[in-house]
Amino acid sequence: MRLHTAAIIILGIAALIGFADALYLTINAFANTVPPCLIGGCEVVTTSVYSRIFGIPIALFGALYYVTIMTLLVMHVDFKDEIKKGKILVTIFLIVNAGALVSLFLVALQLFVLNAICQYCMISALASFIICATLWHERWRTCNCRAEWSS
Amino acid sequence: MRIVIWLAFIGAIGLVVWGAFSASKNQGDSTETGVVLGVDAVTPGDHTMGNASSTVEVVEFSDFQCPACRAYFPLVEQLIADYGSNFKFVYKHYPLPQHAHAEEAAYAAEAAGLQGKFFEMYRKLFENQLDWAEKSDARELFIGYAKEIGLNIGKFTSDIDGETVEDKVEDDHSAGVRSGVRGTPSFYLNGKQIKNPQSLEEFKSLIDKAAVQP
Repeated sequence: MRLHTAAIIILGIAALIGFADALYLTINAFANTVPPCLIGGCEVVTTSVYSRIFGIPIALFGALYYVTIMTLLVMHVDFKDEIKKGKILVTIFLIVNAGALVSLFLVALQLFVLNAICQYCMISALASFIICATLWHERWRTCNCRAEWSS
Repeated sequence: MRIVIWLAFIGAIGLVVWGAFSASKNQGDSTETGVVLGVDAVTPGDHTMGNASSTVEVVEFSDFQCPACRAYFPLVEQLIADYGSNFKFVYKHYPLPQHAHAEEAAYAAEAAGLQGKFFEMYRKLFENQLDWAEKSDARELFIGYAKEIGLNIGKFTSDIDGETVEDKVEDDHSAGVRSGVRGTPSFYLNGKQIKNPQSLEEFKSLIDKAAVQP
C-alpha cells in the first residue's frame, strides 16, 4: 500500500505547520509568555489549568505528536518493503485518529469550558483534522484497503 | 534518494525549530506593548511593596489561581528583595473567570489586608496554589493560611464574605479592563504595559531605564 504523492505532500505540510505551531506554543509555555494574538483569548487558553498535564505544557505533547507523524511518514516513503510500508501506514492511521480525537476534545474545551479561542491551538487542531481527513480519504480511495490497512 | 529524503526531513525540522525560536525571541525584543494603564487605575487603597516614594512604579494585574502568575511570583519576590528600594510595586487583582477559586482567593488576600497582612496571604496563596486550586472547596485551606499568618479568624471569615473586599476586587478588575489587560500576569511600568520580562536581570534593567527616563 502506498500513499498518493499528493497525499504525502498534504500530510507533510500539515504536520510541519502543526509542529511549528506547537513548538512555538511550547517555547512560550516554558518562558511563561503569552504569544501575540490577532483574536483575544490566547492568554485565557494558554494559562488555563487545561494547558498543562502534570506541569508539562500540552503544546509539547503536540510538538512530539507532529514529529512522530513526520518521522513515520518519511519512513513510509523511504522503506522499499511493501509490508513494512503498510505497517507504518496503519501505525500512522491509528496515531492520527487518536490525535484528531484529542484535538476535538481541546477545541470543545476552548469553545464550551473556557469560552475563549487561542488561534495557535485552532491552527494545530486544523492541521490535525487535515491529516486525519487526508488519511481517511486515502483509505477510501484504495479499493483493496481492508487487508492492507487493517493488518 | 533515501539520504535526500532524510536530509530534507531533518532540514525541514531544523528550519522550523530555528523559526519558532526566532519568532519567540523577536516577540520579546520590543519591550512596550503600546497599551497604557487606565486613568485612576492605581488608588491609595492598593497594596504596595518596595519604595513608596520612588518615581518608578510597577503595577501587576494578577490572578492567584493563574499558573503563569505563580511562575512570576518568585521573580517578583526576588526583584523586591534585590531592588525594592528602586521602585514601588503595586498589586492589582484580575481574577479570570475560568479559575473557580480566583475571586475567593482575592477576597482572602483582601480580608488579610484588612488586618494588615495582605502580602503574607499573597505569599501563602501563590506558594500553595497547587493545593487549593483543584479543591472543590478552598475556603478551609484559606482559613488555615489565615491561622498560619496569625490573623484573627473570626474577623477574617466575616471579612472574606463582606462587601468591602468584594468591592476592592471588583474595582481592581474594572481598572484592569480600563487598562487593556488581556491576560495575567500583566505588568505596567510607569503607566505603560510591558511584555512580561523573561528574567530577573531583564526586569532590573527595565526598572533602571525607567528611573532615568521617567
